[in-house]
Amino acid sequence: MNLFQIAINNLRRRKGKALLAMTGLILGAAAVVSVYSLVEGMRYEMNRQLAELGANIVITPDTGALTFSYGGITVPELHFGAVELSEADLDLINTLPAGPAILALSPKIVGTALSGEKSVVVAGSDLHAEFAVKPWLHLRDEAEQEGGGHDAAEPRPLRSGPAPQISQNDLLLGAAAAEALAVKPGDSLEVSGRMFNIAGVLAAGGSVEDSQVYMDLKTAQELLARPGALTVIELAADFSLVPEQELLAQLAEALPHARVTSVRQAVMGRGETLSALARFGFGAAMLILISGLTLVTLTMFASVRERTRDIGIFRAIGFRSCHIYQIVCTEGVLISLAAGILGYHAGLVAAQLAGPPVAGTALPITWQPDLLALSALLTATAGGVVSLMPARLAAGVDPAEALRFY
Amino acid sequence: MEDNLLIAIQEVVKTYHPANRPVQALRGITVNVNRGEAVAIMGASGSGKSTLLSIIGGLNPPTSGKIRIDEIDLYALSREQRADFRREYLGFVFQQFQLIPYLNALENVMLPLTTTRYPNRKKRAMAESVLERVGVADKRDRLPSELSGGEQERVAIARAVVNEPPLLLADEPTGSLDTRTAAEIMDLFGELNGGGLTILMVTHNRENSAYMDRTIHLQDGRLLSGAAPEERPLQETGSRDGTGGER
Repeated sequence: MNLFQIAINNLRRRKGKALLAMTGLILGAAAVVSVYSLVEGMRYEMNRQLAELGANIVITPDTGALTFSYGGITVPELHFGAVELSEADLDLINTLPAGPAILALSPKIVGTALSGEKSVVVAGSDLHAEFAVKPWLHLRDEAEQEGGGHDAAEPRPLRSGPAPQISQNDLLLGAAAAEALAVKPGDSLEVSGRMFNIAGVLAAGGSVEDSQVYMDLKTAQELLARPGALTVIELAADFSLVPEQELLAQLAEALPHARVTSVRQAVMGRGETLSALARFGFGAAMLILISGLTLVTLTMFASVRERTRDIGIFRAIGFRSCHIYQIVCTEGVLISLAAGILGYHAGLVAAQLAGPPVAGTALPITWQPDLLALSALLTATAGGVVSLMPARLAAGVDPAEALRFY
Repeated sequence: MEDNLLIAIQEVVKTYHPANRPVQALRGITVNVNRGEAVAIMGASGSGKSTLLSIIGGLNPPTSGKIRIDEIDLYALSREQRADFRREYLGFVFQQFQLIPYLNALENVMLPLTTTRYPNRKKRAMAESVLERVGVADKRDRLPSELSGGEQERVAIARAVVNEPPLLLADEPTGSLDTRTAAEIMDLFGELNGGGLTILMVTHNRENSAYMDRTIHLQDGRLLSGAAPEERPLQETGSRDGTGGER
């Protein structure tokens, strides 16, 4: 027999009151957990979709006022004496602490060359990496070739195309470039006095790739007379592993001569909307949680008042104030602990049910033991704290009055 | 004689202030009780019996006067020290048994041991032993609501003596019992007193007082008789011979 057992026995006897106190707290904990799970699920889903969209960071030389646009990113033309990007920068990027979060790294050299009398944009790249950071790239199939290609006004397909194998003598042409040069796969094309085979033509995507002539990175560096040089480095990263700001900071520190730009800026509006929604959701959930804690407090007060006689007996037979505090606070903690555990599971179920209608897609909401432990710990602590006032009332019971000695 | 003195009550006055109108419950009570004595406190309703008992029990500070139990000035102690004192020195048998309804008989008896440092096994053994002694060992797993009045009273007595206090205070312990059960309970008090336990019992019942060594009479907060054991031989105050002190 100890104080804990007294608290347990009292809760058992007053199941109805204990359940009433728990209900409010379960709702509060469930609200917080469901909002948290929904927000985390939506963030995860947003990051996953962003990763599907391809490169999320573009690195360009930090120089020059004269620029040209590349893939929505402004690429500065090199000034005399400016530090350009080089293949050595790739080693620096690969050795960053945040390196494991980098899913794909696509270095590229971009320049103009002549094909006969026509000027073409040459893009030398590692095509495997290029296709990895731009999953919408894929080779045009026969039907497209016959049907005249993809409508540039249509959104780009979110599917990754297979990366074709090309040699140093092969070219991969964008749809617009192939049309302008009037060539098709299997033809030959002269670029800056060198003959290449057309290995394939990319499906039209309505982007800058449509007008480019892709070739091997080394070949392009030789052709443009800039060995080892790079114009742009695009990378795709998993921001669930490393926060975006941390990766950007590490890149900026490692490459002081470069400009590091986040493509995610375009979708930041969506993220901010999500953050605003999360703030509102958490605010509402906290209100419910506070209401739940208030209910626990009021129920504990009522329980103490109902048990004035019992507490008077405890005091009369030698219980100290601290023993009374212990009994009442133990009851508060037990109620809150149970509510935290039940609330977590209720919140998880609510989030799973609410995910599709709220986010428009199934969200990855999973059982997280650490979140369960946190929910239980926080509610138990809060329950213990809010029990202090009723416990104080209980400890102050005058045994003579409680036992009607007056 | 002083060595044998357990309770010394000196000029105790207690004034209540209900609705700002002072009511004197005790008006200068002086009483001594020796170790091993069994003393009945009698008087009409409102005479101050229960107030006196609660003051002796350290539950109700007097307006003036002193209470010394085993040489300890009870109200010189802090509130928490008085709680410790009650745990070690006093056993209470309250009116209406006052058992905790959500604890079974055994747990109720173990209550005064809850805050001691005895191992749980010892607490249990002590409680079972005393339940055996009062004759309700077979009812130890029952809740108070599942016990008869007499059984509840026995459990209440077991709870009062489980920590082997030197002094037992009882407030109308047989008030809600039938005559036969009341007599059994009084026999039990007699046995406990025979074992050396000092008993102070508030009672309305003259038959109960016959079981006591002497009787203190109160009227309107004043002591009518029975102040000190040395002043009145047992035969005069009435006692276990069944003559009754009041006749």
